[in-house]
Amino acid sequence: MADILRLAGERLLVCVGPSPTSDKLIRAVKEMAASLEAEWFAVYVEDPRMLRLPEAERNRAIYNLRLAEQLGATAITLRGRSIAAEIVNFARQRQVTRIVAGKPLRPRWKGILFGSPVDDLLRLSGDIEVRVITGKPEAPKVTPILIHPKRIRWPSYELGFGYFLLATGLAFLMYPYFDLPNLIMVYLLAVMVTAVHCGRGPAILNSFLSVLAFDFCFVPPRWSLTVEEAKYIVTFAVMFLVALVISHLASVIRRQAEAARLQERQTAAMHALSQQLAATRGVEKILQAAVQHVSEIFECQVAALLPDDKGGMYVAAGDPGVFQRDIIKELSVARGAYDAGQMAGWGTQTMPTSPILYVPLPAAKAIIGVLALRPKDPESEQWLLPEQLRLRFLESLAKQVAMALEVERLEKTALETQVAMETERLRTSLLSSVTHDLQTPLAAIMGSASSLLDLRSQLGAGLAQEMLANIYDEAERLSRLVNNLLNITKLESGSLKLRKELQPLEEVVGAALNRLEKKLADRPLTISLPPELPMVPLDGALAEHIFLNLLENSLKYTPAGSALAIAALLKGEEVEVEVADCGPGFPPEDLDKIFDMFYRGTKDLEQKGYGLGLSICRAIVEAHGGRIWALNRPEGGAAIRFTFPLKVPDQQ
Amino acid sequence: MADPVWVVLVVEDEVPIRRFLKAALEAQGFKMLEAATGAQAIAMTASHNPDIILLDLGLPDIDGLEVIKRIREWSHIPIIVISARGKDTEKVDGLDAGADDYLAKPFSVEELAARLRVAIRHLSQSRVGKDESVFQAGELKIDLARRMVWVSGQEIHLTPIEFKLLAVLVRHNGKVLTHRQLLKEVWGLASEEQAHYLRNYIHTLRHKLEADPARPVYLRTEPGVGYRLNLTE
Repeated sequence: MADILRLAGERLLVCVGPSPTSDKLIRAVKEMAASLEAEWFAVYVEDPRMLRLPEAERNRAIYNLRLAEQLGATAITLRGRSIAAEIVNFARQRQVTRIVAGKPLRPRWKGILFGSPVDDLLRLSGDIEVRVITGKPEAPKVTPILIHPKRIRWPSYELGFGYFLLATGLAFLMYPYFDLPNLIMVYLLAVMVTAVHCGRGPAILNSFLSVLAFDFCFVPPRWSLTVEEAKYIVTFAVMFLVALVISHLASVIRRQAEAARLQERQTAAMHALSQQLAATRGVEKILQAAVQHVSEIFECQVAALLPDDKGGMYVAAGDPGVFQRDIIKELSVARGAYDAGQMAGWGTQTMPTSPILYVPLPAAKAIIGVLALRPKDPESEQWLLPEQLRLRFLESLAKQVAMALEVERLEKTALETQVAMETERLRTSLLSSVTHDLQTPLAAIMGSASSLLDLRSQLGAGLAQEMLANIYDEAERLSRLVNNLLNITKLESGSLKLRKELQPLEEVVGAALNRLEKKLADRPLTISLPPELPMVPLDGALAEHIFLNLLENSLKYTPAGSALAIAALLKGEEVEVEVADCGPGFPPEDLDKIFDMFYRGTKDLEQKGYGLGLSICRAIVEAHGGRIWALNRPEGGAAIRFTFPLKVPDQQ
Repeated sequence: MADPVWVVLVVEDEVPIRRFLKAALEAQGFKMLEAATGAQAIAMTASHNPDIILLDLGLPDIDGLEVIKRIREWSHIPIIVISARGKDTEKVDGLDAGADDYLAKPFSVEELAARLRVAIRHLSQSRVGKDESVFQAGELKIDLARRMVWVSGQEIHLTPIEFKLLAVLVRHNGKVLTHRQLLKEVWGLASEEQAHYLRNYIHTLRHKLEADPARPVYLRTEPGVGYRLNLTE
């Protein structure tokens, strides 16, 4: 039982390095992990010494790490000075039960002299089981990539030699006034500066030259390599050693600084990309941003590919020039990378002969697409070599892009849901509002008609006439309601296209007044439309409804015979219209809300038709690009003001 | 000679509307024929030769517009279309296809009577074969033959186009004219693009003829459709 539990919790860690045997090691651990059904980690510790390795070896380490990842390991890169300490730390953090390392292949004396990471590992591991597997190097596999000749940096040696000459010159100037040890200091300074600026090689050369020059030029007898006193032999030895140590330390500092700078650059690039992604909306724009950043960071041509319905890929953003030849074949490699969710093409295990590298964009649940990168110069070591973690960095960039795409997709879904909910809410409130508005007149009509049908003999002529008038009035109200509903549904659904035509406001007002002629007969009505009023772009039939609704509201809510007023003014680029009455006015607390009542559908449905009519007015005014608001006139009475812009940018 | 009994063919598929129209028409001394479909309407127009047709555009079989076109192939009989509300384009299409006037549902008996009166007046004039040339309504007097217009006894000067526009409206007094019809008759323009010409001329005509141009008595706007001159004694 305990065994099962332990097995269930088994976690393996394989130490990955640049060794050619790492490959075998990784495969062995993979099998072990498979048989134990265990989770496994592949860890590569990058210490300053690693940075000194030949480029080919450093790349082999990364290649090994990627291999492990492809085989199902969680691949991790750690940074630190002690390989063993970093590995054990990590193993404890992740509750690793077994660490597997390869037996070192280097000569035994090196191990005794400098200590071996495996020995340290055994010492530090405590209760974690450590296994050391011997691996004979197999016939070196054809590593398809990443082997490039190291560039010798001659300028560094020249510069180092320059520092040496400078130190010697300075020493000559100081010689008459200072003791010899002071001159040693000058040389040591030059060695350190060389180590920092030019690296280890020039610094060691400098150390050697410094000792020779010091002996030759300053130590008596001068101008000869011989020395008078034996103590100077010791001085030379110590000077040489100190110079070596300094150059070593300084070059370590330099490499660490370089690593830090690289890290910083990557972080900055990542940050820039993530910031831009956060501010970018739309799949296409996100892909464009990704393409732009990746092509800048990696100095290559980039295209973003998305899957199509037919099992292929298409270029959704970026530079289609990425594919120069064999586009069909390349797209199928891209599709392979998409389907497998693993990098393919140039420099990978899949189709390494392709000149293009394909990086999948992995979202939480699925691969979204693929980035295709064509290095400008595939032979250039710039691209992959100096910054050995570029591939992994590229992967994290890809993950980030994929995440942005995922967020975009989720947001879109959320928005659609919200719109659907909003529509549903509107529909419900419309329904309840309409049901009420329909029921009241219908009840009045049915009541009046049934009284006429059943009680005709009892009703006097006067009462019968009243019932008939009631039926007519309520039917008229129903008719108005249906008209408004028709308009608002058309406006709301966007199916109604405004037929805007330049026309005098007078014509629209006139049409509404003609239609209400009888009802307005006993109302004093002031109309003030100044002759300088220009023609206004209006949908005449709809605009008439604004006036109809406002006038009918005024008729309904103000005492019979009280005055009404319609006025218009030219105000800059718009015409402002006012329809006012001398009634009780609006309740002040409602002024902001009266146009909303229909939308809310909650408050005060008893105010029949009031909300619906005004919401229609608002919908029509806004469809014309204007504004509408309500106010109580200081001299008493309610007023609705609205504007029509004279210039409408988007003529619908 | 006794007044002739005018025969009105009602083409309407809704029974309640037919019932109401029958009561309204017969109370006003018309004789009513009924058709419930477009095909029936065309057949009855040919066989019964009604004086006026009231045609609902929403028919179960043929499109109302088609009915208008088919009847117009051989008859000038006045057609008044009845359109559902909110369908301005339907009205305009019906008028442009050859209908004489329209009623929008719901309409009152009064409106119906007014449209029928106009139709009958035009019928009588064409039967008698006499074209009046002097029209008078309220303070407005128009003499088409002498090309003169007076308001409250004062002669009003109209430009040639204004007069032409007014003359077209006068000849169709009481009937609605669509923007397209007016543009075609006055300017010879076939498209509605230039509707703002028309609006401008109507605007100036109103300012010349109407006491209160914002509450026009004679020159009525039918929003979304056109204009109607209303000269009644």
